Amino acid sequence: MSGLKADMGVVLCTCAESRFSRVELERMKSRLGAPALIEETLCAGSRLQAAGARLRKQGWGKLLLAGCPLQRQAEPLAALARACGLAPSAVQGLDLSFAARASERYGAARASERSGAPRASERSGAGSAKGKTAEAVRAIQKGLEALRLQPPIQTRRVALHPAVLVVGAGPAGVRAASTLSALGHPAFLVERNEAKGPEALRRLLSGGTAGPGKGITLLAGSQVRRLQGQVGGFTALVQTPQGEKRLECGAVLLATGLADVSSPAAGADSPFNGANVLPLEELARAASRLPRRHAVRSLAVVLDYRLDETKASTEGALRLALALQREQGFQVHLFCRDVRVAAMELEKLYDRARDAGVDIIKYEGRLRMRAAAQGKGVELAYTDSILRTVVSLDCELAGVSPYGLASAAEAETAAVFGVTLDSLGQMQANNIHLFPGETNRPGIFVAGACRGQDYLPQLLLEAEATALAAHELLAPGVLEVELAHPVVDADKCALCLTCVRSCPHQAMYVDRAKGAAAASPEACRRCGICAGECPAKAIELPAWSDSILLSQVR
Amino acid sequence: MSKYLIVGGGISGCAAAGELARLGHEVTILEQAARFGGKVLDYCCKATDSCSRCGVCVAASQLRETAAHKRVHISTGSTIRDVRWNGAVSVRASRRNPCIDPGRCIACDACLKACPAKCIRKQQKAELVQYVVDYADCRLHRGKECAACAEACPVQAITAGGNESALDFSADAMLVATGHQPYDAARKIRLGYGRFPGVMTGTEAEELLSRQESLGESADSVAFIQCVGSRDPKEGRNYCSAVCCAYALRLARMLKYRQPQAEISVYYIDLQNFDKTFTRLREELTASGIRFVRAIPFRVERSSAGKLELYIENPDGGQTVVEHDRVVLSVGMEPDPQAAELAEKLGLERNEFGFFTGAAQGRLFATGTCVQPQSIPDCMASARATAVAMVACLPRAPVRRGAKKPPPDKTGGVRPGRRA
Repeated sequence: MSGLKADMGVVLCTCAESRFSRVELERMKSRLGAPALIEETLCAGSRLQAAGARLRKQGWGKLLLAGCPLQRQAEPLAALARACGLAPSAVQGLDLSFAARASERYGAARASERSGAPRASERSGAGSAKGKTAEAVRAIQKGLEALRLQPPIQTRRVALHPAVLVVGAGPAGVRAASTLSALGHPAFLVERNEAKGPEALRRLLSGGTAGPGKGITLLAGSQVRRLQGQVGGFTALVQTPQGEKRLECGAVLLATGLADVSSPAAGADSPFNGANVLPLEELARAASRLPRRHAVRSLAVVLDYRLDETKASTEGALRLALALQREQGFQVHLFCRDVRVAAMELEKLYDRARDAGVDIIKYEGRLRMRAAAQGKGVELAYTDSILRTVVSLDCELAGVSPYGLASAAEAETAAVFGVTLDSLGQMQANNIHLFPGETNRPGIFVAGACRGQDYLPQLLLEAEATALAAHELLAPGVLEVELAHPVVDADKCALCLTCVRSCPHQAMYVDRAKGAAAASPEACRRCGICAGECPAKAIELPAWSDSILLSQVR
Repeated sequence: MSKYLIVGGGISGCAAAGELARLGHEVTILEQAARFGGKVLDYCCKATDSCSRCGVCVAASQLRETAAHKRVHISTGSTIRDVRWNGAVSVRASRRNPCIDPGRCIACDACLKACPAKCIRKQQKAELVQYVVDYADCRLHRGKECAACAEACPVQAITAGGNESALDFSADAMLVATGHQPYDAARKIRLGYGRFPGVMTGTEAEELLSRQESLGESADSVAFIQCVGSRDPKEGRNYCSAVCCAYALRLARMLKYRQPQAEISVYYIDLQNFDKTFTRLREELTASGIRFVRAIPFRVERSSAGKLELYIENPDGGQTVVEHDRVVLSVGMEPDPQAAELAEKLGLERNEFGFFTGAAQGRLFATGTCVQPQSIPDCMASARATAVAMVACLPRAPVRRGAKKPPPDKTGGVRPGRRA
């Protein structure tokens, strides 16, 4: 790894996107006061090898590549670094078109400032062309200063363990595990429920597209207690019925499903009273036990009780309502704020339910349930969205969809894995760049209903896509990590844990040997939040140290 | 290593191609239009001060990544002529020239300047730059000899020998991702589309808002009419298009942010849950003053003052008339008109609405909006899942541990000697 050679140079690259012609670059080269080479369209890549050979002859230890916007991106820079045998961090990029744009915007103003005369505007054409090169030279000199101050950055190769830990043996977890095993990864499938034994697994797996689940180890009745390590080398402590087990894996896939809401953890806010307001899944059984004394027996199926529900709960409710109405002769009232039919078959199901006589009532705001005034049953009071008046209706039983009445279990699981939740408490932050399956932590993926999507056909597709993402992460076997992560000054660190709390990627930890906080380079995304938040100012990013930043603002 | 053929270079096709290439396979994409990328290139970012997760930016970077991958070959302006199955698939296609290879193009503008007929346009979407040939104006297609663009190209990315070339491909499996077309709002004659200038479709509104701040001058009151051409048994379109609530509400949110004084109403049947935290989004929109009305206007007229009058039927049988400056019709998705022809050529099954049934038939797969209406992130996720299934359908096992793997991509998938 070179980078010890102190001298450095500039590569000026011209193409249409950089907005600088060869002539302008020649002019800049003479003014730079630093060794420079002029190249053409390095972004195209075809001239990269030849340019690399020329650059090797120069013997520069560090390089600033000034050219089109593309030259600032990691891939072309790394390619150039390889071509001239330098470390990736020894090559930095600079966008010349930015200088050109900046001079177009501010050039005229600056010119008039300098000359102090209004006639500057008359010469604005010539002035801006000159301003353009001056602006670019300034930018390059700043870039060189930053490059000079930058310490050599090493890389480390991290071995990636091929196994994947899949948490939750529901449809998404099983589909992901079977896809992973078909792609050649051993999978540990951890399921909290003891009843889901190998038999159930075999049945579930037979429905998968990716073949039989040979490499899958099922741990039923188990729970992950702790997760240590980072991407490529996680260690999970799993509580199994046989005692505690340590599992080594390269990635984790969370498919914990919807929280169990029939547990008392559902909270005091829960509408269930155990008598005639029940979770939806218990409605059919309770209805079959009703005495057959009334002429018309009415049931209520309530959706959107707390949150707007999804296609999946709408589908389930429509199927249930249809069965109760058609086969058991109940009058079913389906209460919802909106019917969610955004999938091919659902609109037809909705029509079938209406044709069968299910009364679909769309309400606004909150729906209230209390014991009916006369006799047994429950009174549902709501604002009808079409009549715009408050209506109340008596039913014998009400089944409320438990969606959105999640228990605290979700947050606990998330805390074990260090995964952020969205504003509704579902696994995975609501960030489009993470969709469908990534989380704030590299190497930890999420699939299935726990991330908020619970329509089965879609959920299975997402589980497969997420399994593929895990495969692509682990397949190369090694991960090359640049050691550009924050450095903590152990003398200044007061162990206040501010950085540990504020790191969005769970990259900060306490290094007990040093007695100070430290960052793990595999997980760190070099966002610099820790450095900004540290009250003791003990944290610095090597690529953005204080001296480099100062050189840029001066 | 296997070879795959993908029909359709939209976001679904490109997402699947990117995955297959990353798994070490060769992929060829046939795209009928002069540019690849499909409809997603016409959509705009719908962020205000915060992201609304429409997925357009993610799609643009996926497209660029796919185009730059050394194992992906995109052939624009290409149409399938003949398909033969003999275990594998062999396809004969014809390609219109000049054809610009997006994998090689370095965006140097040389072809643009060289073209004597000025028929090459430059299109940019986020970091994706491509040059689009307008065949109608091209000298090659007017029976003249011309290869100015091909000669000017410094990286030999352009083929311009003859106005058409025949291509023969063979592949181990094939994916159809031909996409959708938006519902033609002019079919709803009473809603005034095409008759009144203030009535536009959602896609047109998106295009306008990507260029300018508002929907034009004195557009202080905007109505969004949902379910135009969707959920409509009378039209034989008894399905929900799944994306119109999403784009309408995101556009409404964007408009309200840009012009807080604007009055925005959304006329709807049912709002679909399209976002992870939809309840919060709905609360935010209601709090910002966007009016939600559960009714679909049945007629749009123009008043003498030049305003648009929306006629709404009341539950009691009467009518309400409301006035707005602009009306945005949230048109749904319908199958591409050429889907029927393609289905016949390939032997693909279609459902009653004309969408392909998603089920794989041997080594033939379909994904994206040609299977069912879906959003950009959903398209990308299902395309990736389809890529897994495509690899699994071949007799040889996919990349296994211990087995010979393709050498690790040192270039990060960027083809050597070409643009990243």
